[in-house]
Order: sequence, then C-alpha cells, then structure tokens
Amino acid sequence: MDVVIETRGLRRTFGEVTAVDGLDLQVGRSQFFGFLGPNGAGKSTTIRMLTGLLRPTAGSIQVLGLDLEHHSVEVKRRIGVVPEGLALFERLTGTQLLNFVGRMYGLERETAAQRAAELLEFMELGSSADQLVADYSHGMKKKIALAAAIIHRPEILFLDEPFEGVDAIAAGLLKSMLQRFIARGGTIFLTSHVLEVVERLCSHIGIIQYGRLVACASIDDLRAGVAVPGSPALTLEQIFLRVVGGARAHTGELSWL
Amino acid sequence: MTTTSHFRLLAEVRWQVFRNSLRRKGKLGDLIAKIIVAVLSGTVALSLGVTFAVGAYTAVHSGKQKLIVMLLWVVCVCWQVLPVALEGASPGVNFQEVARYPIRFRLYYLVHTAYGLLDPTALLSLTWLGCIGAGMAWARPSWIVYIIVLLVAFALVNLMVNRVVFDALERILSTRRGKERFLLGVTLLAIAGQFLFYLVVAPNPGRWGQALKTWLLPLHDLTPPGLVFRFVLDGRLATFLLGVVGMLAQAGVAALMLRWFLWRKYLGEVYTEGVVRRTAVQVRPGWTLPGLPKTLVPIVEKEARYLVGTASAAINFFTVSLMGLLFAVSSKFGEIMKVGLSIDAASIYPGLAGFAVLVIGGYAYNSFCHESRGFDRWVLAPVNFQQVILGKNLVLGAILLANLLFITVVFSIRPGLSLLRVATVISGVLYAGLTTMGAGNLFAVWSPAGIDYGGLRSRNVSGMAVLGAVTTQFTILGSLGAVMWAATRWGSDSLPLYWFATLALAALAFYLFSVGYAARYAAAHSDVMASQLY
Repeated sequence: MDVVIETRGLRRTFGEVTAVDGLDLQVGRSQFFGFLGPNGAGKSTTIRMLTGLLRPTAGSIQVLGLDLEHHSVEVKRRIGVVPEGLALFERLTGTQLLNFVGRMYGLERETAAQRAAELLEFMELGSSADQLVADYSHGMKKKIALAAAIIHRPEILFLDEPFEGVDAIAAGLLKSMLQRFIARGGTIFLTSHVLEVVERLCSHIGIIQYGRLVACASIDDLRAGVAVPGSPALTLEQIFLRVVGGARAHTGELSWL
Repeated sequence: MTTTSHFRLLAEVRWQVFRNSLRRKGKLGDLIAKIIVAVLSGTVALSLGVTFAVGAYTAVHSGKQKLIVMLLWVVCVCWQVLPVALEGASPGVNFQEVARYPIRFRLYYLVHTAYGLLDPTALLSLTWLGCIGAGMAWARPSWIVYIIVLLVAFALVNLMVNRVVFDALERILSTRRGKERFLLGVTLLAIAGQFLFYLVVAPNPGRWGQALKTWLLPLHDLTPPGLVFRFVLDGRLATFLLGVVGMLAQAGVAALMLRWFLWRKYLGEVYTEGVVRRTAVQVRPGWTLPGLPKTLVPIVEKEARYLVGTASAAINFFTVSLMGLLFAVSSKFGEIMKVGLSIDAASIYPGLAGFAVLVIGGYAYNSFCHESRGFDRWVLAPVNFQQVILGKNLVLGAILLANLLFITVVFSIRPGLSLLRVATVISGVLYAGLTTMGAGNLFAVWSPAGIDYGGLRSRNVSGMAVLGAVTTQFTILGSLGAVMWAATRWGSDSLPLYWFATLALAALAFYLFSVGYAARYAAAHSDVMASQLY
C-alpha cells in the first residue's frame, strides 16, 4: 500500500485532558477514509493536527511522505482542507474568496479566475457569487469552503463534517464529485456523524474512542471481523455501536419528560 | 414570568456576559490591561463630570447660558455616537435571538429599550447629565424641580433616539450596499457639516451665512439642548412646559419608529434576506502588483478589500485626506464668504500627518481582529506568517503614505510651508509609522481579539492591545516632543530633521525585527491565537 498519511504515537493534551492518545494510523493512496468516533473522541483534534492547524504534544505526522513539522508549507500546498470552522474570510464575496485562495496556492491569476467561475457554477453558487460570504447560508458556506479546498487540485482532501447542513440535492452533487476525485487518484480523509453517508462513500474506516484508535480496516474487513456466522451482514451503524460499546446507549429516563 | 423577573434576568445576563468577557483563559495580562484602561477612562470621565458641573454652575450663575447648550450637546453626541463607535468594547445580547423565547412584544420592547440604559456610554452620559443638573441646581436652587423634570425628559429623548439609531444602523450595515450608502452619507455629512460650521459659527458670517443662521437657529431651539437652553435663559413656566412637551413629543416619535423596527425583528425578520438574481458567473482575475512576490499580492488584495469594505475603517482612513482638503480649501472658502477665517498651513500640516499615523495605529495593534475563523486560512495556506504580516503592513503603510502624499500636495500649494518643514514632517511620520506598525505586529500576535465590524454585535477589543497602543503613542509623542523642545532651546530649525531621520532608521530596524518575531510567534501559537479570535 502506498501510504500517504501516517501518524506514529500521535498525542495531544489540553491541560490535564488527553484528546488524542498515541494514535498510529495509516491511510493509503486513493482511499476514501472515513474517520469515526463518538462526540469528544478526538476526531477533530486529529484532523486539525494532520492539517497543521494544531501542534501535537508528541508523536510524528507524515503526509505524502513528508514530515509535517519540517515541510509544512510543501505539505499544505498539496492538500485541501474543509476544517470544522470552515476558515472563511467572510467579508469577501464568493468570487473574491476563491480567487484569493487559488492564488495563495500559487495558481496564475487567469487560472484562479477560471476555476473560481467553474466551481461557483458547479456548486450552484453562481447567483450568489458577488454576495459577501457572511451573507451565505450555512449550506452555502460549506459549499464555498469545499470549492476553496479543491481549487488548487490537491492530492489529499481533509473534510471535517462536509455534508452537515447541505441539502440533499447539493449533497448528491458533492458526493459524485468526491467519488470522481478518488477515481482520479486522490485520497480523502473524512469525518462525519452520518454513518449512512460514510458507509456509502468510504472504502476504509478508522474508529477512534477516548483518543485511541479502536478499529481501522476496510469496511468489508470490519464487517467480517465483528460478524456472527450465519447472521445477515451488519450495517456500519451496528459495527460502530459494537466497536465503541453499544452499552453506552443507556436506557435511563427523564423523570419530568 | 413576570415583567420584573424578565428585567432581573436581563440584568443578570448582561452582568454574566460582562464577567465572562473578563475570564479569558491565560490572559491575565489582558485583564490587567483592561482594568488599567478602565481606571484611566473612569478617572477622565469623572473629571469631565466635575468640569461639567462647574461649567453648568458658571453658566447659570454668571449668565453665560450658551455654555449649557455646549455641555448638553456633548452629552447628546456622547450618547448617540460613542455606543456605535465603541460597540466593539461592549459585549452585547442578540435581540433577534431573544425574540425566539416566549416573550410578549410589549415586554420585548421594554426589555430592548431598558437594555440601552445598561450600556456603559449611556451610564456615562447619564452621569454627566446628573453633573450638569447638579451644577445648575447649585447655582439656582429654586429651579431644582424644573431641572430634574427637564433633564429626565432630555435623557428619555436620548435613550429612545439611541435605540432607534442603533437598530437602524444594524439594519443598514447588514448588507454591503447598505454599508456603501452609509459610507457615502457619512462622508457627505462630514463635508456639509464642515461648511455649515464655518458659515454659522464664524464671527462675521457674511450674507449666505446670515441667511443660513436665520433658518437654522429656530430649528436648533427645537432640539433637546435648545429646549433646555430656552428655559435656562428666561426661567418662565411656559418655556419649561414647552421644553418638557417638546422633548416628550420627540421621544414619542422615536418610540414609534423603534416599535416599527422591533415589531419586524420580533416577527423574525432577517436583515440580509433579499431577492437573488440569477446571472452568469463572471470572475475577474485578481490584482497585479508589480515587484511583489506572487503569494503576497492576494494577501495585500484581501487586506485592502477587508479594510475598505469595513465602513468604519474606510471612513477613518478617508477622514485624514478629507480633513486635509477641507482645511486647505476652507480658508479660501472663508475668504470667499468673507467670514474672516484663515488657516496656518505650517501648524495644521504636522497635526494632520500625526493624525494619519494614529488612524493606522488603530488597526495595526489588532490586525487579525476582522478575521474570526478565517484566521485558520492563514495556517492552512502554503504561506508563512511573515508574508501575512507584511501583507497587512503594506496595506496600512500604503494608506499612511497616500494620506501623507495627499495632504503634502494640498498644503504645498498654500503659502507658509517650507521644504524643510515638509522633510521634517515626513521623517517624523516615517519614525512614528514604523514604530506603530512594529509595536502593532507584536501586540497583534500577543493579544489578538476578534471584532465583527460588520454587525453591531461583537466581542471584546483587546485590552492589552489598547494599553500597548497608548504606551507606544505616548513614547512616540514624548520623543518627538523632546526633539522639538531641544530644537527650540538651541534655536536650530534643521535639528528635528536629522533627529527624526535617525529615529526613523532605528524604527526601521525595530520594525524588521517585529515582523520576524511576530511571524515566529504566530506560527508557534496559531492555535492559541485562533481561539482568541473566535
């Protein structure tokens, strides 16, 4: 396997809280990798460390064969990111934002403008192209953030909850685009709480709990690993609940409800 | 819930918001800076209050009633303008969100209005008003009841107008087009105000000024300060009643306007909603700036668009050149209108140049303040922070130089400005500008704070940055003053030029150090900075 993302002993603490605890992870080229975990498991902290937004307390990160700490600019040039907070300059218009991001990644003026126009059309943001991003709806902001992540044609896409707040039609559009990205040799590292989407899109799954990787394999291997012989194939939701401990779904009641 | 418990709840929220704004993890320095700034501001405000009381006493006691008008106008301007200008310093409650709770409109209206009284600038204005009232009552104890009633009515008008202004501004500034119109309106108002001032206040107003005065003065008598002034002038019961009724009527009109605004907000109106037209996407390529590295150009373009697109910033930057133009033209205007005013170019020019430095200082000390979550984009992008900081400084430097160039050209065509004076001022500006941007870079990474100038609801300004700005400006002013004093003492006209040029070289070295240091600091602490900005 041609490994494009690799972490060794990755650890991040916030005061006395350990968000990620000795994470060893490998993601191969052209994999659609879904990174799952319950709330507070360390998904966003991991993705922030992998993209250079957060410094690890310990451990190492290699992206595209380069050490992130020492070659951060080169790595950043070759990846695209839709972070949790979207990282948008909201007082630019959609057009200005894409133009700006494209040129920050070294595209020529004309190329950046041409790709920006195509992306705005593709994301169905054409009619809002000259509106300030601040005036966009949440779903529109997600789309413009995704457009900004791919404008420079990255080799790896890191997507933190990319479909949250996006309508069904747009989500379908984005999914087909992401699958085409994979088919052309790209790699996607995605976190999502919508397990149906992850199951339909991802080829490989990593599950994190309490900052530790508790499962990491292809979906088929995961199914085979937790399946009971003779019983029907498990859904990703069932696999997930078994791995993170279905007992967490307690049956307590609210006395006043 | 009863009305009283709603008010209590609101006061609690306001207090909690204020208290939480002080609880920023790991920012003890910022808290200390805020306390120092608050103590200093409080001392200045209270001293002014005492001055107002003495002024009001003198006005009534010595028959200089016009002084009362001036004092009351200061209170009016403070109450109406400061909350808007200083909104970034005042953590607020989003009343669009309050409307989501099960609350009747009448109570919603009352709570919204009462909230205006809890604003720090409103409390300051009320304190000053109280001081003025005390001064007047001290001078004429028999008027005490009249004064109390008149000043309560005065406060009511100001409160209602303040709430209308605030709501209207929030509505106007919520769209880009609204911001552009607002900017244009403020600019035109500034120009018109300047000319009106010369026409009306000038000792010899001329024919046009006299005509304008005849129109304007009766109108001024209908304003709240004018109505109070009329009573102070004659002390008659009829004038008192006219004043009270007039101010209550104005408060009533403002209350109706506020009701119209708030009813729409209560029903869930979103200001930025509008009809979107479908047009073909046309993307024009970004800027080209010859000589600058390829990745620096989009940073400069983004910064320039952000600053120009932020109405308050654009107005500030534009004001210097506008004032330069007005000062240069006004004396001509004065001559034409025969109002007997003349402007000394040699004295005004250095002052305006200093103002140009002050204007960029406000942004240099917290240069990431507009970016909120966008700050992460700098970390994600394949650029280093040195380029980001340089890009920001280049835009501020260009604004400073453009203002300096403009006022230099404008004042050069007037007599009284020597080449030595121009060279001295330019070298002084270089020294002050580079020092300001250098210190600004350090405070911008040490203590950034997010400010949303787009809406009228924002979080904190950076207390540490404010303290840093004040300290640096006093240092600059002190050093410039010392040089000028030495030049006067030794009778040398050229001494300041050599000193300022030397200081400018030292400032350049400091500036270059600050860029490198701030870039390294930002790269190492980007996650901490991001958490401070949003």
